[in-house]
Amino acid sequence: MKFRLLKTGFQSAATNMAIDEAVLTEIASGNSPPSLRFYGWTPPAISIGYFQSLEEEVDLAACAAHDVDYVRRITGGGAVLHEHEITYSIHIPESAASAFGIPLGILESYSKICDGILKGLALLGLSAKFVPLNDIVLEHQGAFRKISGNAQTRKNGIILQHGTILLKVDIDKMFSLLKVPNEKLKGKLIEDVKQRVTSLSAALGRDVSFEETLTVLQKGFAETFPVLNFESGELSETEKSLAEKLKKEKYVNDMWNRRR
Amino acid sequence: MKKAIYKVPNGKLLKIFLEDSDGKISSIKITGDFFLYPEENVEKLEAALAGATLTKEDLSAKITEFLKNTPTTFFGLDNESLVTTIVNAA
Repeated sequence: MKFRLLKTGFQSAATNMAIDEAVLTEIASGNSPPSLRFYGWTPPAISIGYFQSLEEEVDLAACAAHDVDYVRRITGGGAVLHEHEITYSIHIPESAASAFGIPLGILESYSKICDGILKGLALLGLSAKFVPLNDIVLEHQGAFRKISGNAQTRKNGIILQHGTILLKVDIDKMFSLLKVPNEKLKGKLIEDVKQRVTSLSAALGRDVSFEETLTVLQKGFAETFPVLNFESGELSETEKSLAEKLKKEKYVNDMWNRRR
Repeated sequence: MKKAIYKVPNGKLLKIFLEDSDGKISSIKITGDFFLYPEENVEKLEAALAGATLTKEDLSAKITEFLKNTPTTFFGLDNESLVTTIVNAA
């Protein structure tokens, strides 16, 4: 069963989200095969969940001052700083899910897809586990700490799940860009998050590159879904032009990003 | 805009923004890091709550009715938390 492997490199927030949606649309139309994509973000950017209020969550002035971009996702979930990380997105038709070994139930499908990441992390010598609904945690210095957040949507009969795996994390920087519910408690909140979040480089005590992580994640997904034949591919011309259109008409616009 | 924030038990963070008048909802925004499927139904739910009386009973009934007519799945969110947070905001 053919599964396209896409490596679209480092692109802007709006471009990255536009590509995810363009690929979803083309798979739904039957023009593109199911796909697994790996990508990075340049410049660094915050993505917020579909249901979040942009102004409530993101300090837009601080982002501008730090040259950090922002975008609203089509998936739910929270605010994520995309810097020193690798993002994956997997696109699977619901009609093919069971043939691929992916349960149709939302929680179950999150778990199965995250298995790909767990197996990838195991190849780095790390023992991670999935915590419903959408987190992957690692045991590090006596506690389970989050290393990956994931978000899923289903549109036009396609399961799109994307997520990020942290290579390095700067919690102080993250909080300089995000707003918190209670400013007075910000210090405590930051300390709390530092305990509950980790990264591959913190866990392994060495620098871990995007490329190295991509390689193990690719193997992890291949191991998790043995029926799939991953073949390196490219975005089709239609996907490229659709992504360009979506970027210009949706993802760079306030009408989308500031809708809530 | 009135606002209330609530950590849904075993769930995500819910933030309600509310405008009300004469004890009824004029407009409402249901925001947070939860998941809801299909996603567009959040806007439909917000529209369905316009005009609702700001009592636990009426809010709960309106949400229940909405869910019956417009199948929606919540993750990290629930009827009770919505009601509690809306009442807290008011």
